[in-house]
Amino acid sequence: MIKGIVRSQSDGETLIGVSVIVKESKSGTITDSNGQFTLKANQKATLVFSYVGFVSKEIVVKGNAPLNIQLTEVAKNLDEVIVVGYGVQKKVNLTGAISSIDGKTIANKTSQNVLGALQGELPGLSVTRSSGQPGSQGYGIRIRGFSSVDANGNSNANALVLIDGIEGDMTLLNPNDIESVSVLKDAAAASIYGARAAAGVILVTTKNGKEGKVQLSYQGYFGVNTPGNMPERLPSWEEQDMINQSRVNQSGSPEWNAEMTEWTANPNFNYRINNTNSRWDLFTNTDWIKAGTNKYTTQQSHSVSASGGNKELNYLISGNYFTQKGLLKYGPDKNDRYNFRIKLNSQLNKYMFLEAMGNYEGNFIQQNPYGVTSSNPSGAGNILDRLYRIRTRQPIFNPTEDINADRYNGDLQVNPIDLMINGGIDKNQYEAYIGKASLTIKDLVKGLKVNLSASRVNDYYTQEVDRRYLVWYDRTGTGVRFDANNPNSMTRTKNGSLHDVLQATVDYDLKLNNHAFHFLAGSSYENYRKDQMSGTVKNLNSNDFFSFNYYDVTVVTNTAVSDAIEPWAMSSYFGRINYNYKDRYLLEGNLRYDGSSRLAPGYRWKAYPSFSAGWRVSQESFFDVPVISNLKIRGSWGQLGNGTAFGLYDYLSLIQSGNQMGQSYYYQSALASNQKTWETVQTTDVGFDLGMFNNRLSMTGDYYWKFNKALLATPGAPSILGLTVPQQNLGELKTWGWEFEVKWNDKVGNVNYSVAFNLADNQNKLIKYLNFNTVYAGTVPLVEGYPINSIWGYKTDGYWSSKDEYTQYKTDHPGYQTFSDALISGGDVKYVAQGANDHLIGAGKGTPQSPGDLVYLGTTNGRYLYGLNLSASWHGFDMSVFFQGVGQRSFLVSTETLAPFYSTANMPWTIDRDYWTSTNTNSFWPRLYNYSGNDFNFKSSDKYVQNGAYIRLKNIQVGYNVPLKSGIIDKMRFYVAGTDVWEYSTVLSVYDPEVGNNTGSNSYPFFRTWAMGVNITF
Amino acid sequence: MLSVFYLSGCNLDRIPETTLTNENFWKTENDLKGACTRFYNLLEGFSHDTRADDIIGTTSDQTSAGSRSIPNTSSDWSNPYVRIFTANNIIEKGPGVGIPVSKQNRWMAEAYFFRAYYHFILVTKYGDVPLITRTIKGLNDSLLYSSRVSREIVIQQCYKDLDFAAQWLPTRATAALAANAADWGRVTRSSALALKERIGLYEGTYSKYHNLGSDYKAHLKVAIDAAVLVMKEGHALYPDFQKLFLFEGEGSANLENIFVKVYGPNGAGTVVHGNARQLENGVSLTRNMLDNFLCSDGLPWSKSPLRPAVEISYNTALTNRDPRVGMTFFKVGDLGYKSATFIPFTNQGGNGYSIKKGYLDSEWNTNSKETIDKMLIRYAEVLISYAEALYEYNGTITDAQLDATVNALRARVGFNVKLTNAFVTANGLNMLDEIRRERAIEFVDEGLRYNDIIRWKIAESVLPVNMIGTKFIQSETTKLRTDLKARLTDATGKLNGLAVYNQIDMYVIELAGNRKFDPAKDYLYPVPLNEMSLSGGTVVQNPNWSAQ
Repeated sequence: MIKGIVRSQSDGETLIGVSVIVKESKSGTITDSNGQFTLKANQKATLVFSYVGFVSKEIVVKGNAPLNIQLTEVAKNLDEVIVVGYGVQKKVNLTGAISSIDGKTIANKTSQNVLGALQGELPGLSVTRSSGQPGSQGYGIRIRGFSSVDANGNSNANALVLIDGIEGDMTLLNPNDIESVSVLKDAAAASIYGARAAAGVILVTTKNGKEGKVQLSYQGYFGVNTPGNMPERLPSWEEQDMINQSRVNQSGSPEWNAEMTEWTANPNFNYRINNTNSRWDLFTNTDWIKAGTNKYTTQQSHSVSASGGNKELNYLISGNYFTQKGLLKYGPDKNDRYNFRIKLNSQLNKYMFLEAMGNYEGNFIQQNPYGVTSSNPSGAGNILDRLYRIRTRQPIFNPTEDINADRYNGDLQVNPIDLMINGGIDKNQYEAYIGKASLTIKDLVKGLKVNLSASRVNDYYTQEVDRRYLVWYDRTGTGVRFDANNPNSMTRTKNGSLHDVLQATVDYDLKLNNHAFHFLAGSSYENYRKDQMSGTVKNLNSNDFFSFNYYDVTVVTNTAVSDAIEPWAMSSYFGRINYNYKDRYLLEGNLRYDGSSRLAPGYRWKAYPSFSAGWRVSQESFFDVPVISNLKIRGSWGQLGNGTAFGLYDYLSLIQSGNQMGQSYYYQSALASNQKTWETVQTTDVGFDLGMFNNRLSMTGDYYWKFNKALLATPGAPSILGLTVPQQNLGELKTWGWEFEVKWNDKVGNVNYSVAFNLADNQNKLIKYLNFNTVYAGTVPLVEGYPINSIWGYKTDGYWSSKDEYTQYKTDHPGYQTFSDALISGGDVKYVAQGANDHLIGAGKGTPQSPGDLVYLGTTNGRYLYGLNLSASWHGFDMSVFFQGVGQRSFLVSTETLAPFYSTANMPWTIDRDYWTSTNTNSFWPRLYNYSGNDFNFKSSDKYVQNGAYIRLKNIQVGYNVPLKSGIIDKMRFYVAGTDVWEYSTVLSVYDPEVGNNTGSNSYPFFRTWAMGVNITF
Repeated sequence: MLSVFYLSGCNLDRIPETTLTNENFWKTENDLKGACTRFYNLLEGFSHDTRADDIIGTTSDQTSAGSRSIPNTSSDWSNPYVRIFTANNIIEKGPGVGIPVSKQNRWMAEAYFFRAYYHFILVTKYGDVPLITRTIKGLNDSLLYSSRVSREIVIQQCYKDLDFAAQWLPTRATAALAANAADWGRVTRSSALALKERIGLYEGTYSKYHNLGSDYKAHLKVAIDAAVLVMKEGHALYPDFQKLFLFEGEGSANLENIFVKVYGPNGAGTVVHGNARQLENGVSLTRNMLDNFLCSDGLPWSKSPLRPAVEISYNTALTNRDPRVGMTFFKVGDLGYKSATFIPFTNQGGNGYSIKKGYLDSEWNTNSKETIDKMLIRYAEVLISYAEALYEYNGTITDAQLDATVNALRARVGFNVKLTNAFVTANGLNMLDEIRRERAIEFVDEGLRYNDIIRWKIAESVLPVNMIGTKFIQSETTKLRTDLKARLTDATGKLNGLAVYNQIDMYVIELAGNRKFDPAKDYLYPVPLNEMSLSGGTVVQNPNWSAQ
C-alpha cells in the first residue's frame, strides 16, 4: 500500500483528481478531495502522476513512506507548438498570423460537423451556413473576409483545407479524430502554399496512436432538434379575408363574397360540390405546417477509438457514425455519415520513420426530389415552400365522396403531403477512400531531414433521383388539376475521381552560436482526374420500379446521357528560411512557384514570396516588467495566389451541345480568354502577442490589409457581344480589418475558470472594376468604390394616406411620379426623391455617380464578428457557455417572399397581419394588393433592408466527470449540451438572422439542439 | 537533394476530352447544320402579346398601360444579339468547312435569315440599334462599343441578308419532300421572302406615319415584290380556319405554313408550351377587339343595322357577325375550357372574352406539355400584307387584288360579303381602315397587333382608353352582381361617373385614367441602362426616356 498527497508547486494547494498510475501494471487511481491517494503497488514501482495543466511526473517508489508530490504547472503557451505549413513551430517563435484550436474543444460540441463547431471560435475565421437541411447546411468558411469575388458577389477563393496534408472537406470529418486545427491567416503563414492560399489555409491534424497501454474510448450523444425561426400560417378565414382585400384593392371585386368567406370559419362545413365546374368548393382550415413537419427530430453520434503500441509501432483506429433526421414529417429527409480511420506510425530504425494512414468517409443524404434543379438543389426546401404557401382552405384529403383513387387533394395547389410521401427520392452518396504514406529520413547528416510522401484520394459519388409521377384530378376524375414530376423519370449520376499528390521536402537545421537557421525546400506535384457519367430516362413503365431497363424506348427524347472528364494538374516548388537570434529576433522568408494546367501555356507559372519578422521584446535583457511574461511584436508581407475560379480550359473556345427533338445542336456560348492568369493577393499584417501574470492573461492582436491586384472580374460588356464574358485579371480589391483575442485563466478556490473573447472586423472595397459600373435597387455584387454586395435602395417615408394625397403631392411637385403611378392609393409606400422632387422616381443613369433616387444601404458582408467563451470547472463538474454573433450586417429578403400576394398563389403568414388600413396607418406592411409580380410597394428600400446583427447562445454545456476509484474505466464524463438554443436579432421573425442574402420562402430553418452525451475512456 | 526535384518533369498539359473546341469542330456539313439547329432551339414560339388593345392579361401589361420604366437589363435587347452572334459565327466559319459552295450556302442561308429576323425584331422595339454583321472578337474589339445605327441602314442589311437566304434556302416544295421530313420546321425560301415582305411593310408604313424622311415607298415596293415572289411558291390558304390552329394544321401538307416554330414530338414532347392553360387562365380578349369585327352584312359594328341597341345576352354581340367571331370567341353554351359548358365570369381567366381560337382540350390535359406547332408567318399574312402594301403604295387597290387577298380570307371562313371599292364607297367606309380591320380580326392573338398599332401610329388613340370586358347578365353566370358591381357600367354606360361604354353592365377591366401612352416616348422601348453605361456612352437612350 502506497499513500501520498499531491500539491501544486506554485502555491502548495492540494490537487484533486490527479491521475496516479503504476507504470508497470497500468493500474491506478486518482487523488481525492484532499489531494490524497492510496494504491497498491510493489515497493519499487514507478508511479506516473498526470493532471491537466501540469507537467506529468514519474516517481520511483522507495519504501512505503507517504509520498509528497509536487507538480509543476505547464507554463502556458511558452512551449506550445503550432502546426504550420510543412512543419511545426513553437508558438512563441511564430512571425505570422496563426490561430489554432485543439481538437477537444471541437469534439466537445454537438454540432453537425467540425465546421459548425468552429463557428465563432477563432478570430478572423468566419463560418457561415445557409440551411438547416440535414447534410446540406451549406457551410462556408471565409478567412479574413473576401480575397476574391465572382460576378454574383460570392467569394471566389476558397480556404485551402489540408487534413494531414491532404486536401479535404472538414464537414466530413469525425470531430473526435482531430488533434488540432491551425488557421494560417496572413501571407507569412500561408504563402508556402502559394497559388492555393489566397483565402487562407486551414491545417487539420488528426490524432496519432500513443505508445503505452491500449486505450479504448467511446464518445456518444443523443440530441433532439427543434426548428428555429420559421413562418407561421394564418387560419383560412383570415387568409381568405386578406385575399379578398387584395383583390378588391386591385380589381374592385373580392375573390369570394362574404358568405363564402365565412364558410371557411365554419368547422362543420368544409366543402361542397361546385356546380359550374368539375371541382369542389373547399372551406377547410388546414394547418399545413403542423401536418407536414416534425415538432422535433433527432440526431446522434457514436464514436469509438483504440490506440496503443510501442515506440517501434503504434496505432490508432477510430470510427464514427453520425445521423440526423430532418424536419419533413414524411419521406426522405436525413443525413448519415460514417468515418473510419487507421493510422500506423513506425520508427523503422534509427534514421527512418514511417507513417501510414488510411481513411474512409461516407456521407449519405436523402431528400425529396421535388423541383430539384442545379440552381435550386433543395427539394426539401421546395416542399417547405409549398407548406408555407399553399392555401389553408385546401384540405389534405379529398372529400369522402370523391371518386378518385388518390385520396390526396390537389385542387388549388400541388399537395405537399402527397409529394413528401409519394413524390420519390433523391439519394446522394459520397464515399472517399484516402491513403497516405510518408517516410522521414533524419540525421543521416546532422540536422538534415528528408520527407517523401504520396497520397491518393479516391472518391465516388452517386446520385439517384427517382421522380414519381403524381397527378391530382378534379372531382369528376377526368380533368387534371395539377401534376408533378411529369413524366416520371430517373436520373443517375456517377463519378469517381483520383487526386494524387507526390511531395518531397528537405529540412535542415543549422546553429552557429546564437544564430539558428532552419531551411526548408520542397516540391510537389498534384494530378486530378474526375470522370462522370450521367443518364436520364423518362416515362418508366412503372411509377414504383426505377431502372434504366424499363422505360418507353419508342421516344428518342426519353433518354439523355452525358459524360464529363475533368482533369487538372499542378506543379509546385517551395522553400523557407527561418532565422532566430537568441529567441529575440525572428526572421522568416518563404517562396513558392506554382504552375497549373488550367491556364494557357505562357500564363501558367507564378512565384509567391513572403517575408516576416518578429521581435520578442520580453526576451531583451533591458525589458524588466515583472507582470509581462511574454511580449512579441511581429510584421509580415507577402503575396498569395488564387486560381479557384479557373475553368479547366478557359483559354479555348468551347463548343456546347444540346438536343432539339432528336437533332443535335452546337454552339459557342462564352468568349475564350487566353490571357487569364493567377490572381495575386498581397497581404500585410502587423500584430502582437502579449502574455501577463505568468500567461494567465494572454492577448493577441492583428491588423492587416490585403490587395487583390489582379482580381478576376467578369467585365460587364454590352450585350451586343452575344456571348458570356469570361473573367479577366482586371479588377482590384482591398480588404482590411483587425482581430483581437483575449484569454484569462485562473482559479478561485477550487473553481478553475476561463474567459475568452475574440472580436474581428473586416471590410472591403472594390478599388477597380473596369469602367463599367451599374447600380440598381437590390444587392449589387460589384460596384467600384463600394464594398462587395452593396445594397442599394430607395428612402421611404411611410405611406401615402390616400390617392388624393398622392395626386396633391404631384400637383405640388410637378414632375414627381412614383412607381406604378396609376395604381397608387392609400397604404402604398411613399418613396422619397433624392434632390428636387420633380422627377420620376428611379435609378437615374444607373451608375454610382448618378444613381437617381437610390442610396447605399449597407453591405451583406458581416462586420464585428465575435465569440465569448465562459467556462468553469469545480471538482468533477464543468460548465461552459459560448456566445457568438455579428455586430453589423444588412441583407434583403427576396421580393416574392417579402410581398404577400406577390404571386397570386402564395399565401401570407402571421407576420403579414400588420398591413396598412385606414385605421392602421403605422403598419409594417403596405396595404393588401394582388401584386401579380409588380413590386411597386416592395422595392429594395430602407424599409425592408434587414438588420442582420445578432447574438446567439451558440453552445451551452454542463458536464460531470464521474470519480472512478479504479476498475476498467479510466474516465467517464456525462454532459448535457445545447446548440443554437437562443438568439436575439431584429430580423423578420420567420428567419434566422444568419440566413443569406435574398433569402426566400424555400429556406430550411436552422435547428436548435439539446443533447445528452457520454465520453468513456477504458 | 535530387529527390526534391524529381517531380520537375511532370506535365501540365491537359486537353478537353469531353468538350469540343473551335479547333476540332466546323469540319463537316453536319457540324454546320448542327450549328444552325441552335436557331430553332432558341426560337421563341407561343406567347400572348398583351401589349396592345386586343388581348388583356389578368394584370395590366406595363407597356399597354404605359407604366413601364427603364430596365437595367432586358432580354428584349440581349436575346436577339445572342442569336445574331450565332448567325455571324456560322457565316464566318462556314467557308472553312470545305464542302461544296451550294451545300455550304444552304446552311449559311439559315444564318443570314436569322440575322435579319433578329435585327428586325430589335428595330421594331428600339428603332436604331447597333448593327452587328460579324462576330465580336473580344472586349477590345471596337465593334463592341458601336453606337446605334440608323434603322434605315439596319433594314437595308436585313434585305441583303434575306436576299442571300432566299437564293440558297430550299423551296417550300423541296422542304415538303418525304426525304426532308426530319428537317420540317427549318426555314425555306418562302420564309425569307415572307419575312422580307413583313419588314418592307413595317418599315414602309412606319416611315410614312412617323415621318422618318426615308423613302417609304421603296420599302413598300420591297414588300410588294417579295409578296409576288412568295405567291409563286405554291402556298395556299388552309381550308378550315378553326382547324388551322389545331393538330390538323401542322406540317408541310398545310400549304399555309411558311415559318413555323415546331413543338414536339407530338404525344411525347420535349419541346413544349402551355398555351391552352394560358388561354384558360392568363389572357382574354377585349370588347375593344370584338368591336372591330364586321357584322354579317359586311358593315362595321358601329354602322350596321344588325347591331341591337340593348344587349340582352352575353352572346348578343357575338351573333350576326363575321364567322370568325364564332371561331375566335367562346359563346355561352359552347363547350369551353376543359369541356365544361362555358359560363361567363365563372370558368374563365380574365374578365374579357375567352379565346377559342387555338384551344384544344386534349392539349390542356397534357398540363403544359403541349406540342401544337406555332405558325410565326402564315400565308394569310402574305396576302393581307400584300393588300396593305399595294394600297399604301398606290393609294388605290383593284377589286381583283382585293379578291386575291382580303376576300380570299373571308371566303375561307364562309364570310360571303366581299370588300370592293364599290362597297366602300356605297357605305362611306375607308378602304385602308377596312384592309387594316381584316388584318386585325384574322390575326387575333397571333402577335401582330402591337407592331401594327405602332407602325400605323395609332397607339395613342387605342391604348390609353377604357379596356372593356364582357357583358354581365346575372342569369348567365354564377358570379354575383354584388361582387362585380364596382366594375360594371350603369344604365347610362358610366362607371364612377365617367362615360365608359354605351351599354349597361359592361365589365370594365381597366379605366382609361389608369392608362397612358406618351407618343413622344412610348413608340420606342427604353434602352436598358446597362447597355448605355457599358457601351462607354456610345449607346444613347431613346427620346424622352431619360428619367433625370
